[in-house]
Amino acid sequence: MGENIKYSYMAHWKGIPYKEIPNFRDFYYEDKTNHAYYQSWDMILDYYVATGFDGIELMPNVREMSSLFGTPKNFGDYVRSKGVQISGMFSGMGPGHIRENIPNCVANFKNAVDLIVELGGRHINLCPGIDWAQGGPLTEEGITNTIDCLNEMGRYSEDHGIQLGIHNEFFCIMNLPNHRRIIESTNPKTVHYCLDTAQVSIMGEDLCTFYEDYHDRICTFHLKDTADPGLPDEKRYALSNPEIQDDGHRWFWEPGLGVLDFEGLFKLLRKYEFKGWATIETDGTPDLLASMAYVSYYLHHVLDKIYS
Amino acid sequence: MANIHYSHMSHWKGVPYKEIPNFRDFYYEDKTNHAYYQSWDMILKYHAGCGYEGLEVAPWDLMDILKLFRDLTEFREFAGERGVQISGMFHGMGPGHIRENIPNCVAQCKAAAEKVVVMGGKHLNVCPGIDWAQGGPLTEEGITNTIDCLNEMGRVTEDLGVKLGIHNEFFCIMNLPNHRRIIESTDPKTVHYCLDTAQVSIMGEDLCTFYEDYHDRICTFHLKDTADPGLPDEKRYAPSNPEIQDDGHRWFWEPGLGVLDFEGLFKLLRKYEFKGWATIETDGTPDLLASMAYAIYYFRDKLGTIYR
Amino acid sequence: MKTAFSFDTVNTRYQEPNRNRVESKYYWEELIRLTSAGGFEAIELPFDLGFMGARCAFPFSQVALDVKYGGAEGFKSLLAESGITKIAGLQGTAFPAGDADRYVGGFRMLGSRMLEHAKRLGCDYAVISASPEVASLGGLPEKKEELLEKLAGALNELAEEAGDVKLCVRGEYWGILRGAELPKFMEKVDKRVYINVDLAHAAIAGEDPVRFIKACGGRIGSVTLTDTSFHDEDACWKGPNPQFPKSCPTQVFRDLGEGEIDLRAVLGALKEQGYDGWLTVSNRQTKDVSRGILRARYTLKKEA
Repeated sequence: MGENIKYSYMAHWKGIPYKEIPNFRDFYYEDKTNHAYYQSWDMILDYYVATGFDGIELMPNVREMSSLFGTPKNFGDYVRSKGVQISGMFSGMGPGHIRENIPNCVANFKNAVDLIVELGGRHINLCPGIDWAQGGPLTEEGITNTIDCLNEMGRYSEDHGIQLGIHNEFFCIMNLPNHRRIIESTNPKTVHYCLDTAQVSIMGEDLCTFYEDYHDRICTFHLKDTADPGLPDEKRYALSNPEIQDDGHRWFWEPGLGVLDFEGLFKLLRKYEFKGWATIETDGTPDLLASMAYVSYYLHHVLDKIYS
Repeated sequence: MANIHYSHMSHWKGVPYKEIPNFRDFYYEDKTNHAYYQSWDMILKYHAGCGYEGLEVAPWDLMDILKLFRDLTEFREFAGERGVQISGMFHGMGPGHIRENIPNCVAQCKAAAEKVVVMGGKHLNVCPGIDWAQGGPLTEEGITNTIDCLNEMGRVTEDLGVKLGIHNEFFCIMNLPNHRRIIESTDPKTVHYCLDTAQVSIMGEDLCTFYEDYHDRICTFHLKDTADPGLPDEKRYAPSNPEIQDDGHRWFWEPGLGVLDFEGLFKLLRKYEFKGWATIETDGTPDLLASMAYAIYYFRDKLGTIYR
Repeated sequence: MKTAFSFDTVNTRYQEPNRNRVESKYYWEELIRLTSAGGFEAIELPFDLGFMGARCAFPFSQVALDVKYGGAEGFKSLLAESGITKIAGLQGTAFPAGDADRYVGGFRMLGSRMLEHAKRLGCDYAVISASPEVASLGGLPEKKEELLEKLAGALNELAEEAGDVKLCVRGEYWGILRGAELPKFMEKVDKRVYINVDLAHAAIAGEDPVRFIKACGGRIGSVTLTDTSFHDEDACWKGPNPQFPKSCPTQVFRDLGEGEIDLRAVLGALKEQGYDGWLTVSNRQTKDVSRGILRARYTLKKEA
């Protein structure tokens, strides 16, 4: 942990079927491959500690948490007993760009916030709408509704000690034409921003410029790299959801393996004295642990020298 | 400041590349995680990312290393730039139990120790003979020759500033019947001991008793677990080399996944104020990175509450 | 033409997840079943002199077969249980040495032992590399003519030992006999020594495989079906680790069907030459052995 930045790692492990594996050796012998090493929360959380991550950001998988641990609180306690904090959770706003959906979106959001409170986290990083392919472009009315929905959500989360961070995605219905407008129309006291460095760059923003412009709104990060900044509209708005490419093309890379200027970003973090959680995310990697270990090196041996 | 500096035994086998400048393209050829394990650049970064300060080199990898690096100095510098020191190297004494072989064994040992010096290392961990299956049991003459050979090797290594550590193995020609006698007959000033916790336990010694008895000779460790302490003679002395089992049975496990009393050992390390390198070793694992992450968590973070 | 599958598909040398499995016998027992499931009734084995004893269960040396598999007969029975009825051939490479006499001496010994082992196993061919990578031969490549003369001499001696086994020379793209140099060299060698056509090695050395087959004429003793998309623009062949080109890392040897080589054209050319021997699939740098077996079977179904 640095003085100013605490690093979390996004849980892209998908379903983890076991809490612990008490008969590890026998379990290993069933197959004699490395599968056994990735089947329990026990071992996976040990990898977090080993690679120096302070926290884990969760995907909302309440069913798994409950089936393995009984309650989300038990899950949170277990994670902390292993030396890992829960920094927060990812979630989706849903179709709040349509007015009649707002109450339902807010209700789901409140459940998510309550869950994070029970888990002991701090952030809810929120994708601000459905995919562009499912309903874009946003109309004027859609923009207004999105703003209202975010503001209502922000009120609830702030009242419960949780920071809502808009986490935009390059294929989201809120996109480059209205991104900044929506941010600036929301309440800065209650609606914050989770800067996903790759998503926002692919969408067409310059990473450092964006941080410079919105540093006071940005409460946390999803730090990841990309080799595809400024993806053209027709690719971002593709009707077949562009997130997963048919040929296996990766949008996202471990920081340092793409083209983004992380050193420039960290100089700005130093300039504006950022303090708080930053989540590293490596969705699309073929090997989460290799990515974690690599990223840990990059953070602590390269970027920490600029600011930690 | 920690007392124990953790090194990792390099069981990576041939690493084909020094660096992979076209990493994304290389990944795309296959789209699996193979690309993540093909370069010293990334592998060393994983070591640093997991908090390992050092790497113990395998002599069978030197030929491949020298295809990629100008010389061992460059390898040392390359590792150093990535936050990893070379703690030492493993070595096999060879058939020094036969008197006429001693000069050659000593010459090879000296050459190995010189390489350790070039790499900036401190330890030469020496298997004290050939396999039992190839020439056991040791005769009285064989025992005398082994002692003399080790003493001579100890002199040359000490002169170079390298610590020779006897690293016995459960299938070695030096075995339970003469293990302690040979240790006690060698010069304590120049012939030290590298305690491989699993090997010595499989051979039939009690781990904590052995450390208690020889703590002043033990200069370093190969820390690994086993589920097979006290393996019977007929298995240790099997004519078909027992090290690799036909059915994939593992002799060695990550700490905590076998049955050894590491808590007891660490209490003794604290009692005797051990200071120096300890190599974590996970030979036989299906996933070196998962094992090295899990193992350092166990020793540094979990047992670190007892002694670090 | 009949097909075989080479067990050089197993990575015994380099790092990869789950590499530990290949050291144990159970892995090879299953590989035999998977190879059979892929529709192959014959295999090729790498050959080594067994200096490492039988520490690992790689079935590559006589000592390993004796200790782990009940000897040559025991191993053949194990294969037969899974429907693999033939060990088509062996392949081996001599240790590098910087001195011509030492290198050729090692080459001669490897050839002799490999032929002996091939007879024991009932093989039809034994492939020997003309040389390991040139970068490992010290200053020898500068004395190429002298070395080639000694090599020709060693091959002529081995011709006397070959008997019914076809001894075949392979010219790797990183060796001292690249591409078209090989058939030219073989004009000086006893006609009882043959040429191994390795498609990827020919292509990477700049020799179109079809043209290479025509140049070899009736001297082809075995064919290794390899594939590649690698173009050696940086002359990696001259340096250390030529199959891992450092300027632009890539998988040099692709699974059959995954590279650029026109297998249909190759098979046509072989037919024209009247070749009626083994076609041995070699996925020697595969990232997934099982997938490689199935890819090979699919490609053979499509193109053969």
